Amino acid sequence: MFKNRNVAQIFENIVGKDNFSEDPAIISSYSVMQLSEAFGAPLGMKSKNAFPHLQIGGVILPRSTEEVQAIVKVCNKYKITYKAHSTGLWLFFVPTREESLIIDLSQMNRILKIDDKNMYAVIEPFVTGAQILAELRKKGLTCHVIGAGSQASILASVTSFCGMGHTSITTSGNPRNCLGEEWVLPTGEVVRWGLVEEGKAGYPGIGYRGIARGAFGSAGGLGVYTKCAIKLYPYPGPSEPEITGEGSSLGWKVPDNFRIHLIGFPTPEKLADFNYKITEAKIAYMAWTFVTAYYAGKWTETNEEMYEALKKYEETGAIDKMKQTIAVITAGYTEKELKYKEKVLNDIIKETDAEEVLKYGIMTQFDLERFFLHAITAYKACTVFREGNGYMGGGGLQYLNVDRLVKVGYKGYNEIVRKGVQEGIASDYGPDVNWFGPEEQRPLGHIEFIMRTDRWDPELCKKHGELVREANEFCIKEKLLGTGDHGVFVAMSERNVHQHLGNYFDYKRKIKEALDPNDVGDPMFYIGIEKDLKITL
Amino acid sequence: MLNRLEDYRRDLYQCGRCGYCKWVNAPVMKSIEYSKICPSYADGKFHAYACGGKLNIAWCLLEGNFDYTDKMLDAVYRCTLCGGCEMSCNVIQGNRIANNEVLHALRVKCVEDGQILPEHQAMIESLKKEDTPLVGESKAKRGDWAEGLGLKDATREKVDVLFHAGCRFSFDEDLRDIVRADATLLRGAGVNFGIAGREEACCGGRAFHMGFMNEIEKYADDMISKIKISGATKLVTPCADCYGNFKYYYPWIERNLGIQILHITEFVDQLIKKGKLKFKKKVPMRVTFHDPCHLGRLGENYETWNGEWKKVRNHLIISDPPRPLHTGADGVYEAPRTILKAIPGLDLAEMERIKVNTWCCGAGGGALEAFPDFAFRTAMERIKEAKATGAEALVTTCPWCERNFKNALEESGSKFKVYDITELITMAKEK
Repeated sequence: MFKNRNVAQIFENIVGKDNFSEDPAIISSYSVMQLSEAFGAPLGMKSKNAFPHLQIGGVILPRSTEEVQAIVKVCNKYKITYKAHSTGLWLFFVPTREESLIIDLSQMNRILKIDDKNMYAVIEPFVTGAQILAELRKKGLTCHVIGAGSQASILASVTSFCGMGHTSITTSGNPRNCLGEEWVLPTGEVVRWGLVEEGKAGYPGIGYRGIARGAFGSAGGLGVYTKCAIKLYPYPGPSEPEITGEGSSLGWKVPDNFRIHLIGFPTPEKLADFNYKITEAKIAYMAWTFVTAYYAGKWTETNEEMYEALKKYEETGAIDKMKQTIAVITAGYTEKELKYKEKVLNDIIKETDAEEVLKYGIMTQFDLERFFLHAITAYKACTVFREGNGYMGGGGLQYLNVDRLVKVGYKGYNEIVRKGVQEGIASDYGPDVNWFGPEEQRPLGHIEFIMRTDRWDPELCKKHGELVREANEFCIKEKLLGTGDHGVFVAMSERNVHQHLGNYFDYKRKIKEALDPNDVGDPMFYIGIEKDLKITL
Repeated sequence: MLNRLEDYRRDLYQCGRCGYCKWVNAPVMKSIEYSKICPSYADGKFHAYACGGKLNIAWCLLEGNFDYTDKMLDAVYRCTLCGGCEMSCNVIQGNRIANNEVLHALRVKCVEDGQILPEHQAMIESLKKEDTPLVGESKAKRGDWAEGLGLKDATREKVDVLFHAGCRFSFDEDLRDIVRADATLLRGAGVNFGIAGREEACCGGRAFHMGFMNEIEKYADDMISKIKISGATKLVTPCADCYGNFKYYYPWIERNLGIQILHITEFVDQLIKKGKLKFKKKVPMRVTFHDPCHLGRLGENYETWNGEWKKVRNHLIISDPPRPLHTGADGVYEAPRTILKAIPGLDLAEMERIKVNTWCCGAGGGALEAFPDFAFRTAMERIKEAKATGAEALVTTCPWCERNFKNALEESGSKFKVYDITELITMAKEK
């Protein structure tokens, strides 16, 4: 509840009584999320509740950009920290200051435009990947959906975060797909740039993507984004899946113009070479690592089923075939196109001493359909929560040279997680735990390691956090743009990686000072105006 | 068995705020317009109204972070317990969260702590006095729907099938022709069946959904007793709500009716398949079918679980024995469709949200009585979706759905029609 009752009344006047709440139960529904232990425990946080120690002021539901502006201006006037979120999957939506205002953007949920000729769309914050994919498929288009899954907001990753997805080899990542924003600045003024401003003189004009996003997204610390324009890509598949299976066990009958390959490599070096070659040849529609930890969760419906699958893979030796394995999906608009791509792919497989691992009986036809359904719709990303008692990942490097990424980062991450397994910190999901993929048909890539632990146990969470820090130090040492703790953009990381990123943080701070003079945008996951920001998680 | 809320801490903790509980299963999502699965969240807007939000509220309540508030009760009770969240969540979380059990356990705790909505209190009072939660109705009139049909009294005579009308069909005069036609169908098929008539009592489901444990136990025992007295080996009911309570919810209180339970559509479907029911009269109409929650998602046999969680491979958590998944896959979806497809001239157009992904009508869980505005908006959302198919009418097979749809259509002044499937059967039967 806000101590200043006038402020509460003003907020209510802006959005209406039904769209503002100071009720402790309503606030508490926003307070708990699963990553709070992952990142909070190493910092001393003791509870599942992300902010039990904070008195949050209230939650507000704006319905328009004008309402957002009005809210932000009030926050400036009365020095109230605000934190906006859309679908709110990650830790970054959590407010970290006393009497913060949570701005829930869920009422801003429209697809405003799909321009299939010029291949862009304009969307509001609460449009999820699943929603826009359903509409885009009707037009033979797709967009980038990050690894968090299609239930997450697209605008969030376009404006405030980053990350690869299954289609990154075609669709890059959303930092690069941002073609415009309607950006409510931390002061409450609004800037519109790019393709959200159709009809304006000089359209589409210069862009402010660099200032708005920084390297990794502003993570809720630099105003509120109320619209964005995103780049769209061709999608050669059917508008609706031919669903197989029932209940939670669903598949998509693989269309005739798609081919799925699971390709294993004897060494990470060969995997790196492969990535060079397929991106040079521009033949893959989708490509990402297909490691045990990943796929055992994606087409099993329960952890019990997953456990049996992992046992079977070990007993048959298939688990070794799944190291350095990449899934490649080719697609063609014509038979000739597909045939060409397949031929080139087969040549590259030979050149890199690779082999197709499906022949080892890893998956049934229905498993393949379940896998394909997830590949296209990205709907099962959050099974990591089921598998790992919560997502406990680490790492996070994007647009890096795939050679170093695979030869150094890939191996290094596997070693760190293997160490975690041996020390009883991490679950054992096989020898390869990397979520990696090439981007933009270029030898650039992204990598994260997926390490699960039991987040019910605060000591384990703490040790997990220490391993993540170790991964961060490894990245710095190997000059892999350290984001070992999933957030170089987390202000606290500044201390860890400052020397590695030159004057990046200095300029980030200048931007924050210039645009948010009253320091009301929650700085915790962006940057603080003061250098030694006190961590309040 | 339904546990106490504190015994579900692992379930509460498991929520990762993926938000899946708000949406239709992504693989079958056809448009942004019809992408929501949760009427409570669609209406309440704050995350507190989604299942994930309620799990968080439950956690914080157990932690003592706050005491009960009106807004909290609004979030807890402005919900039909339609099962959509569990279906969607289980696709991602597997069996790690028993969403529906947790939501019921939360309500049971609210009731135990005296946090009862006045509308629900009135329903419970009516239940105690008149064996029905329909306020204003009298037990003395319960059997009136069967007047003149000459049906057997199953409390006095042995029968093969016990026909359970349910409260809504027993008292709602607008729907009387439907339940009479259903009974007539059974008689026409030569079934040896009877009814409890005035002695029939509520199945107890509505009380349970509002958080009252004692009442459902009492009425389940009454049901078991009536079955025993009748000697029936099958129970047929035209009420999807009762059907779901018998099959899905009674196991939660460790009650088993011990006989086969059929919804009227399952029974008619069997008649059609055996060639005992043929439709010769055309019904030239374009219709769409609404899957009642309690027939589909909440119409499968529920297996309760009281096993253990254990760790393998360091920290992979599995259940022992394996906890069942509840995705609604084994509910009744095809029987009504078979019937509709068998009616000549009828054109069945499907909505986007069907079967396990059905959008709730808005009537269940005590929501219709306590939040008629919410029930209205939820029904209108479904009617909008029905109209979008080009259908002239919405067909369903649950009296609660029908009552809520009819109320909404009347309130909105719409001429759009709602039929029970039995009404179409009646139209199509050869005279």
